[in-house]
Amino acid sequence: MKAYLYDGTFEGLLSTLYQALREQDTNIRIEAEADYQADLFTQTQSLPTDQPLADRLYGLICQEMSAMTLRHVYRLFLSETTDAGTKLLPFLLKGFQIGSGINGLMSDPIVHPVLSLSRQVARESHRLLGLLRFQELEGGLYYASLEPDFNQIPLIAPHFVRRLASQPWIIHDVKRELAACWDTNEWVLQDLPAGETPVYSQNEEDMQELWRAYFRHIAIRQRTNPRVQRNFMPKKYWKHLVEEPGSQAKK
Amino acid sequence: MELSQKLSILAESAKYDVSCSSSGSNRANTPGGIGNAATAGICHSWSDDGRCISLLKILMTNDCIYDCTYCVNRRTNDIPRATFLPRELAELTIAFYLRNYIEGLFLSAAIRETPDRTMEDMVEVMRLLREEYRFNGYIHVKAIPGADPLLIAKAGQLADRMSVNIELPSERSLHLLAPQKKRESILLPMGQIRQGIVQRREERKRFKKAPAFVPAGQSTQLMIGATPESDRQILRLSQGLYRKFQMKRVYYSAYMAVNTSSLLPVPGGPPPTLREHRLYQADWLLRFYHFDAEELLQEEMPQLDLLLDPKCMWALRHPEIFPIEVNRADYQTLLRIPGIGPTSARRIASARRFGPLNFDGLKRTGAVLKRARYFITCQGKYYGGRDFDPRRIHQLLTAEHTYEQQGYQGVQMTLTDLVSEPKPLPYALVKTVNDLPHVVSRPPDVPEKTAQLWHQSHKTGNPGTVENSVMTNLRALAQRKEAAHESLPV
Repeated sequence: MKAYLYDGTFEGLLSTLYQALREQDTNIRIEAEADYQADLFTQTQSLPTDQPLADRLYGLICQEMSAMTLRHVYRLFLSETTDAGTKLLPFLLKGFQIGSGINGLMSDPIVHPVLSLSRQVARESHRLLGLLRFQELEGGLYYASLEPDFNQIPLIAPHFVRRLASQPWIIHDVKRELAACWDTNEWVLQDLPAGETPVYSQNEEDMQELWRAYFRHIAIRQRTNPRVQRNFMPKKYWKHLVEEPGSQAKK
Repeated sequence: MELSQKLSILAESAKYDVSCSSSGSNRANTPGGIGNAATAGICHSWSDDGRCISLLKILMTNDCIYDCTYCVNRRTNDIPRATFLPRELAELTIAFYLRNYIEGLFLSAAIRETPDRTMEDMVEVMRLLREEYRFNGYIHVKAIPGADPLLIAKAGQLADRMSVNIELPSERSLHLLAPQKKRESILLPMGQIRQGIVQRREERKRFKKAPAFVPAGQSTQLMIGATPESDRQILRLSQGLYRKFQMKRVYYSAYMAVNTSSLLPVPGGPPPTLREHRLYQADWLLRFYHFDAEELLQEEMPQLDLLLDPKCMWALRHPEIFPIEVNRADYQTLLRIPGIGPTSARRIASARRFGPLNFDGLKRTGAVLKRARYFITCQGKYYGGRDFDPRRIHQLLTAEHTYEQQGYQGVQMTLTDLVSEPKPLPYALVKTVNDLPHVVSRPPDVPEKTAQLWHQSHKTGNPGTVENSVMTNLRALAQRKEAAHESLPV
């Protein structure tokens, strides 16, 4: 068995996939160099990023399949699961055979793992669009922290660029120590270590208290249903919320 | 009064409104503005009752001149009252929105002084938000029945969605429980909004920049369990509303008894949430599965089964078309199979373009096989156990429901199931053989005479199916009222 290792960038993944696709062999593992666990029976080869190849595959996927397929590939890359690349290789080979129909071919054993992982990533992004909570810091900067399962910042930042364009903000992935910073002009992705406690603006505490009060009063006590609440909003997201879910159930 | 106190009081008063959707509008942000609307809608949190919080759902005021028997904010209730100033509420909305707590505002109100005065205040909040704060997020606003049509039109230009709550599903109940409201005053703004939407849609075909009018459509809400209407009456009314008024949604709200009255269920009991759930399921069948209300419930069978979802119930009464071969059935027929919805039906259809679909492939399409397996064959093989026997399947599916309520997942077929003789089906089979909509032509989309339905609904009321005490009370009161009416000296 062979394994091709890429450098952990999206371009790296694309160019490595391109080279593997050329061999028409679905038995190649494709993994990020950092995640790779060596074993005795695999021949490994590290491939450096080849920008023209990456660009070429990028264009080919759009042309032969669809922009949606490219989005699936990007989401799998951001899922940061070790076998994402390995899943993508046979998927793309099949895609070159059947074209854009691949996006709907859930029933296929090769396509299904890719589409379902892509959906998992998309589901978490959509959830975070709602669950992200900004806090106003001194000086008018809005700060939001999160710890998603997948690397979500590149997926959700554009939404907030459109929505909250007139205020500067930072969305901080505490787990990956990565942040999207928006200065009302352009947004950049940069490393940002976790651990600093921000200084709130004057009325931030009051606003948070108002929101908590609203959250308490909008629930109908006789319909308390913690199971449904946790289904929609798993506990892992509660840490970064302002409100206090589940307080009814305790009473 | 402090802001937090006001917020608490007015949120408390607004919580019985069900709607909280923020979908259907794609309003974009403007340069220097705040916010935009997401077409799919975004939920921002889920409160402890499991309902989503998408919009800041709040009343402008809970200080009401009306005295509707069922309502928590009725004039004669001794509860704290509060009223927001328009600017106060606009500022609060913006502060919450900037922190990404909410998707927008859902503004409702009790009737303070006059309907016009109330609507004016609400329009003022929206005007402040849209014009001063340049807010482009989602706004859902209630149209107050009886308000000036000009105010309603102004609100429609500023809002994304509008709604008028019907609450009581028949005119008779409305007359008894909310005597100050009139059926006409509810239907009037509804008709006006519908007309505005249609007109603006036409204009937009010609002029791209024509301003939007209620781009996310209108919705309404019906109260479940406060009055004796049957599920059949409620569903027929909903269908009429969807067809005639082109509603985006009809919401159902399991009635929480908040007031003591001989006309209402006793306070303290749990709200009929399971019935509400079944009605929502039936509602989905109307909107996404091409079902007709008449197919689901007939005059001799006016209630939905609480133990079984409406689609299973329908399927079990139509053994003549099942089991269906998933490799051959067309899309419309696939939609009729319990456990298969629009998404999995679409996936099945697209999978079949590349070759026959086997049972493993079917699993991957996301069809809910714990239900679907009883109603299909896949490549000619039946996966539902012994044979297609509605009585046996009914027993298994209801057992499944019972287990699920207790927190288990799924139910196994047992030996006793294989050998014992199943109990008879609790409902009659439907006689007509070919009432699949694609076999016969679809029921014509003639606008249902919703107004007439309102009149008729009390005639077809089925006293055997509802709590008798309520029914007797209603009847007695009606008689008393009629008698009183007759004895009036003319």
